[in-house]
Amino acid sequence: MITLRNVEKFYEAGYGRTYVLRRINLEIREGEFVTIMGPSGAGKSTLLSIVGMLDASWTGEFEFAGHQVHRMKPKERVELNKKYIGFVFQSYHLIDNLTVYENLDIPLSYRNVKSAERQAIVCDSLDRFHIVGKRDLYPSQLSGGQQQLVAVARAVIASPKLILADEPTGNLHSSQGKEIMELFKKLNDEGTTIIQVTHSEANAAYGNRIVNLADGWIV
Amino acid sequence: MHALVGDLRRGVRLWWEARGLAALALVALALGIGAATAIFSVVNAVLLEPLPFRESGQLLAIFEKNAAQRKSDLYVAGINFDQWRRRSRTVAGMAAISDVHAVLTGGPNGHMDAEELKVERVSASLFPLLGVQPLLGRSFLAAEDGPVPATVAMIGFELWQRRFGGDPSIPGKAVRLRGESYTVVGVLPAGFSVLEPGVDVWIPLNLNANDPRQAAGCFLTVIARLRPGVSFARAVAEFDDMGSTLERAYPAINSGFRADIRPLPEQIIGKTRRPLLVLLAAVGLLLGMACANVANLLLARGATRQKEIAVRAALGATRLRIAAQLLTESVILALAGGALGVVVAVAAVNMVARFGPADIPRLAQIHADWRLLAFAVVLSLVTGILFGMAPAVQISGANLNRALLGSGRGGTAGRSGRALRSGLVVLEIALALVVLIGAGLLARSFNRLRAVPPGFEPSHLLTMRLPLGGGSNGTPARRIAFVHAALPRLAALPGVRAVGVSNGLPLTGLGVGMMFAVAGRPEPSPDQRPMALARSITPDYFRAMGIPLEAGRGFTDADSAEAPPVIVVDRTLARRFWPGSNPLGGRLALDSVPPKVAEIVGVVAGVKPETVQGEDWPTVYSPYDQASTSATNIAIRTDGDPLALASAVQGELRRLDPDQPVADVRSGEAIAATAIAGARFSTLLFGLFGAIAFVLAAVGIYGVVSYDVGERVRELGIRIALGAQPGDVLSMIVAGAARLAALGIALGLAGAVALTRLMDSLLYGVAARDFATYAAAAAGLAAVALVASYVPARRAMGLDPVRALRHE
Ligand SMILES: Nc1ncnc2c1ncn2[C@@H]1O[C@H](COP(=O)(O)OP(=O)(O)O)[C@@H](O)[C@H]1O
Ligand SMILES: [Mg+2]
Repeated sequence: MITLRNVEKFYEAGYGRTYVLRRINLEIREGEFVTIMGPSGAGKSTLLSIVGMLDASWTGEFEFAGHQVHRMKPKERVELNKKYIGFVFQSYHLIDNLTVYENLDIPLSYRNVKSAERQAIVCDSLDRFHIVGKRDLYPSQLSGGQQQLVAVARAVIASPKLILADEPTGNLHSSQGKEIMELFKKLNDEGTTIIQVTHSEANAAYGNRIVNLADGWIV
Repeated sequence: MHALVGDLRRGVRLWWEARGLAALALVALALGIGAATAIFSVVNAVLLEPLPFRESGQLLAIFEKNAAQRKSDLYVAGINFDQWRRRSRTVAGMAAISDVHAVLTGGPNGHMDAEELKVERVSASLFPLLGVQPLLGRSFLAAEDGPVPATVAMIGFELWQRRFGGDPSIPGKAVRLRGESYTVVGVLPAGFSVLEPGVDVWIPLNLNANDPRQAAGCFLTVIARLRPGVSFARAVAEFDDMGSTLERAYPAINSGFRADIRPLPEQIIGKTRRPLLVLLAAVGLLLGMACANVANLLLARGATRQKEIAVRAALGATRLRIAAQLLTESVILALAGGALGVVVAVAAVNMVARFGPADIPRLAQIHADWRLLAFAVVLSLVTGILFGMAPAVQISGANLNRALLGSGRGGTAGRSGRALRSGLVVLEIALALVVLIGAGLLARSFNRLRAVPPGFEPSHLLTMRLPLGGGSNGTPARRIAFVHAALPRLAALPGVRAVGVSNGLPLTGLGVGMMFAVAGRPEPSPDQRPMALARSITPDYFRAMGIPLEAGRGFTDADSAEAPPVIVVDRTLARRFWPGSNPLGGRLALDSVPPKVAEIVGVVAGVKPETVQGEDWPTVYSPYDQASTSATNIAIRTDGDPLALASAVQGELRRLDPDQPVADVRSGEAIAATAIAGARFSTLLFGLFGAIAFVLAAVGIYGVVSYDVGERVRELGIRIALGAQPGDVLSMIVAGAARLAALGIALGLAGAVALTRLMDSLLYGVAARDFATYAAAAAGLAAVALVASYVPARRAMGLDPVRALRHE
């Protein structure tokens, strides 16, 4: 599904280039559950944003589901993102002045789904994640675990084939973290490809492969 | 004290750092305060300050009116003034004024360069009635206002300074007026005028009601003072009663006529009130916009500083301390804006006083009014304090923590702040739209006015007035001779195509009118006798003015005093009395002095006698030689620039008679321009206001959308990460602004429907609810709103989601 060849990313610094990713070669097949680990600043988030097509300034080759991403225009990459990818962030990134229901609706609103259908999908999702009672609450009225649950629900609402999760349990108690990981496991069993970044060996145990990053290199 | 100095220094520094923002706020405040103060100063001087007369509210101006002919503001007949004065019980005193002209040819030291002056012949009782004391000398004695003319005069301050060097010993000295010696008895205070501005000399009226010509002649304006305790309505009723009595006593003079009474202040300022109030309303809206703008900028700034303030609070600053600092900052801004506003206001007031149209009464008395300045500065202070303090108020203990966490978790904490800012922008757009619609209506109306053909050809036309009456050429024989001597000399000047003389030029006033009847048709009753404007012209007048002849012939030298009486009538008279038939050969019985019956030999197109927007009047043109009048205007059609010929023409006239003054030398274009000068002035002012409103609205929208985008960076990042294309982001931001604009425009349209009714009387050929103007103004404002929001929206489109979402 994903093939990275010689992917590199650098920032221009005053005296030269600071490389954040070096010669990344990586192959991820459909249905895998991959964990990326490494110390802080290793480039994990950067790698995830590249795979998630949020970051466009890098070099190398990136093949995604048969598409040559490195040859695509920004607009086409966003289309690819829309079609395949769901993102879960460490700090949830819910929109504060929208309710749970409205937050769940955002991805659908950018995906040409008819409004009646959208309603049905959001309600299903509320059901599935057991947050029907929270539909009209604002994020600030939820606990951290509940917020992350909503964030996961939002990431999967448009039925992505690939879930990218950047330290999804970083701010959670271990019991809440466990709930999220169980969810990922279940989604993975249903066929969704998952790439997660985590510092926790326990979380990593849910996956079937670990990629280690250090100073921008795969080690 | 030390803390205050520190706050001041820090405040100035902070504004300097945010100088773009500060400059916007300052410009808004300066424009708002300046415009409001300037217009209010005009309103104050013209409308609010009492007239410089004792208890001016009790004073009345009395004219005559004819309900059947729908004419008001008519001069009062001598006999009526005399009778009213004897009979009325509701007024305590009455005086009459007659406007004339006289040529000044000498002073205490002998001969002076001739100058025509505006003179008022007045009852001796006028000055005590008004409660006006002369600056020097005395006013007229009752004995000087008897039926026998007395050669005494009072002069105005301005003439005294200009021609007599402010000589303090002038009372008792002699001046030469209308060829006679008059003794100056007093000098009136600066700025004194009753109804007519610019009068230089006052002489006794010397009305003799027993003289039939004076009794029947309508040439007086009457001023009266209500008895204490008597209501205006009672006076009106009494004059109506007297009117019926006088109608029976003097049917020839009074059939159909009644007194036309109104309060004197109303007469003086009535016509100017509406336009000034409309202007005042407009600047009020601008001031509101300026305040809303400043409030918005301060709120937005407060929002960006929440974190800084929270940190200060966390480090132990008391809320009082924080409030003091924010207060100092806002006050610095407000005071600076107020000071700039004062500068703009003083400059604007001077501009208005210098360039304002001459038909605004009391314009010379305008000064920047310190009370309004104080009001405007206080308003800006209150705005500054109220909205500058908002961030301090928002940081209560409860949400301190949250503000500290900032966007890390809380995100858009200022939901209520954003609602307030949006509300202010909606308000601003609504106010701007009202101002814009007002400006649009006036502009359209002005365009209509400008397009009205005045009936003559203004380009290549030079006109001037020859004040013949009361000078060395005063007698009918001398003035006719003068005109006959002058015309061929002027016609012979190079560059002159045609020269004509008339007693009245278009667009300068109705002038003389006379009653007439169509000979050979049944006589209408005396009060139904139609009235026509009476013009006496030399043969080439139509050619000189460019008034087209539509039928028959104009006059020739053969239409002399001895030849059979002939007339040319205008299209209006011809159509009314010969509808669908040929008026040529028809005959009119004219109530001229002496009465005569004259044959119509030609028909000319109509001209606008008084105002461009006014109606055409039936007009009768007589040959100058058959009906010479003392009022004499020369019209000259030129090959080139008419004003370039002015000195040659004046030189020629001076060679003919060095003592004959020439007045009102103007081009035809100047006459046409003067006729719409008032409309041009208010259109220009309103246009300026509209431009300011546009700028303020754009700044307001730009500011609020910019800060909105800045505040929503994280949200936008999330949306992009969840699949929003740049186009989605753009349309979301612009749609937000468009919603505000739409709301503001809807409010503004409602406001305009309510407020532009005030403008009805100012508009010509355009309805106060003119759909096209409303639509254009709304569309223009909508476009500005979209452009102003597009700029920050573009920035949002280019947002890098990785950066936006990078957690701190
Ligand atoms: N805008 C930037 N300019 C320069 N360096 C950056 C920028 N953004 C991130 N980095 C650097 O890139 C490196 C990788 O960051 P990141 O991918 O977030 O690491 P991780 O997620 O593994 O902790 C870090 O050393 C970080 O300092
Ligand atoms: Mg990271």
